[in-house]
Amino acid sequence: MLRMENVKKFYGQVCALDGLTLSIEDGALYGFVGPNGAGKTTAIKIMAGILYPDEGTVTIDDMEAGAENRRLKRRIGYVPDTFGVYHNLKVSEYMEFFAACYQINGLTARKRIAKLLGLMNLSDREDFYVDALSRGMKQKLSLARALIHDPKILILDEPTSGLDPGTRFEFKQIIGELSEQGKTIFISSHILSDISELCTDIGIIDQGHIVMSGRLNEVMKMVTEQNPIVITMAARITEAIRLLKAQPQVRSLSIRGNDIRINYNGSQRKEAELLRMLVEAGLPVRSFSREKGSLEAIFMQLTGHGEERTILSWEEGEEDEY
Amino acid sequence: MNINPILKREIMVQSRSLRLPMLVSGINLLLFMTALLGMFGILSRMQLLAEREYGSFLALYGTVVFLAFILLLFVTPSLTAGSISMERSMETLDLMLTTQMSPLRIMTGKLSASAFSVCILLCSCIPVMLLPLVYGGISFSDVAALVLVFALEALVLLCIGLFASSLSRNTVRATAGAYGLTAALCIGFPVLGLLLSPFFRTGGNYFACLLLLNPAACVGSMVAEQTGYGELLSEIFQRMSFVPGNALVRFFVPVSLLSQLALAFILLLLSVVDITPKRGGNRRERKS
Repeated sequence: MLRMENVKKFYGQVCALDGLTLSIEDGALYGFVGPNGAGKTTAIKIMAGILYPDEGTVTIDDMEAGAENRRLKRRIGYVPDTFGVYHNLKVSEYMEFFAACYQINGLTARKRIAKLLGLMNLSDREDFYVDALSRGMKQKLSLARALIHDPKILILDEPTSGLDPGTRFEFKQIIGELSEQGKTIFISSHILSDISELCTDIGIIDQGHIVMSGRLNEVMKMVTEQNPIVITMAARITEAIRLLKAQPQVRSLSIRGNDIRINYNGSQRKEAELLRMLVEAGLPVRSFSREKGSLEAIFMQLTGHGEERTILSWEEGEEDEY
Repeated sequence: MNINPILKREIMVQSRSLRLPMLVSGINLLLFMTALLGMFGILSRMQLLAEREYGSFLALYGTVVFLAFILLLFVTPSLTAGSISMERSMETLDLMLTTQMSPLRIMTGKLSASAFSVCILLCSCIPVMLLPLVYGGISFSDVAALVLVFALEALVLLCIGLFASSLSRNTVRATAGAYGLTAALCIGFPVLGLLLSPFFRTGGNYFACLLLLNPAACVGSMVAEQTGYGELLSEIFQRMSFVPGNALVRFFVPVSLLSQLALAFILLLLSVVDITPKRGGNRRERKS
C-alpha cells in the first residue's frame, strides 16, 4: 500500500503541495488527474524518491520513504514525462545500463531485457540507437526500463501524451496486462478518456491537494446522480414545462431544442413517478434519462471550470415564456 | 567484478566518439612540435657555436612540461564540467536517482570515467616528456614523479569540474564555473597574496598559504626543482612576505598535493550532497 499523508512541498514561496493525502491499495490502477500546475509531477517525484516533502510522510508497505530508501527503490518503477536519451547508446545497452544500476548483471539481465523488449514489441529494435527511436518507441522503452527490476509499484507520469492513437492503444494494453499481473500502477494523465478506460481508482488534484478520490465507478455514479435528467419531447414542450414546474423536486430547468433538462432532487422512485405523470398527461415523451457522468465533467466541476457547462436555465419564480 | 555501471557506459560511449582520439592527437602534436622545434634550435645553435649547452635541454624540458600542464588545465575541468549538468538537462539524473545507485556511486562513476580519459591523455604524453633523457639531465624517476603529480593534479581539476557541474543545470555555465574556480586557484590566490603582502610584516602574510592550493605552483615548483631552479619558490614566498625557508616551503610539493587532494575530496562530497534528495529541498528544484 502506498500512502501519502499531509504532504507539503514548497518551491521558494510557491506552495506546490498543500497537505496532499492519498492512499493506494495494492493492485490498484490509480488515475491521477489535475490541471497544469496542480502539483501532479511534484507528488510523483516525491513518491519516486527524487524529491523530499517539506512536511508529511510517504509510506510504502509501512516503510517510510527516506529511511529505508534503497529497499523502497527496489519496489518502485518510475516513468517520467520526459524521456532521457543517452547519445551513442543502443537499446540493449540502455537496458543493460539500468539493469546494472539495480545490480542485475549477466545472463539474468539479458533474459529479463529480452523478455521486456518482447513485451513492448521492441525486440527487433535491440541494436538501434536510442536517440533514433520514435517517440512512441522511446516511451515503450522507458516503460521497459522502469520494469527491469520487476517493481511492485509502477509510477507513470503522462505516459501517453504525444503518442499517436495506435501507440496509445498498444500502451494501454500493456498497462492493462501489467495490472493483471498484480502490479500497483499510479498513472498521471491529461487524457481523461485514457484514465476512465484504464483505471480502477481515481484522485483529482487541484492547487496541491486532493479534491476527490475513490473507486472510479463510485465517483462516476455519485456524479451521475447529481446530473440533470434529460427529457426529449416529440411535441408539446410548453405543457411539459408547466407540469414539471409544478413538481417541488424540480429545482431548475433548461431547454435546448426538444430536450428539457431538469435538476431533479428526488429518489429513483420519484423519477419513475415523474415519467408516469408525463405519460399519463398524454405528453409525447421520446426519452427520459439521467445525463451520464463523464470524467471531463467531474474534472471541470472540481477544478473550478464548472460554469463552462451551464446552459440557458430557468429558476423557480421566473415567468414562463412558453 | 562489480564495475560501476556509469564507468562502463561512459567508456562504451567514448569509444564511439572521436573526441578523445582528436584531443590526444591534438595535444601530442602540439607538444611534439614544441619539443622537436626546440631541440632542432638547440642543436643548430650547438653546431653554429660549437658549445654544448645542456642547460638548454633542461629549459626545453621545463617548457614542454609546463605547456603540457597548461593544456591539462584547459582540458581536464571541461571533461567533468558537463557530466552532471548534462544528465540534469537530459533528465537522466532523476532516473539514476530512482535506481539503487547511491549519489556517491553516481559521482565516483562520473569521476572515474573522466579519470580514465585523463589517464589515456597522460600516458600518451609520456614519450614527449621522456625526450630529454636522450641528452641527460633528467632521470626516468623524475619523469615518473612528474607524471604522478600530473595525475593527482588532474584528479583535483576533475573534482573542480564535477563540483561546478553539480551546481548547474546548464553545461556552458558549469564549464565557465569550472574554469573560473581553476583560474581562482591558479591566478586569483597568488595575486591576492601579492596584493596583501605590503600590509604584513615579513613572515606574517598567511594568505600566501593559499599557494598550497595552487596546482600551477605545485607543478611549477616541482619542475623548478628538477631543472635546478629550486630557489624560485623561496623568492615567490619572500615577495609575499611569508617566512622563507620554513618547512612549508621545503616540503611544498607534498604538502601542496595533500592540501589539494583534501580540497578535491571536500568538493566531491559537496557534489554528492548537492545531488542527494533531501528535506528542505535542493537549490535547483523547480516547480514542474
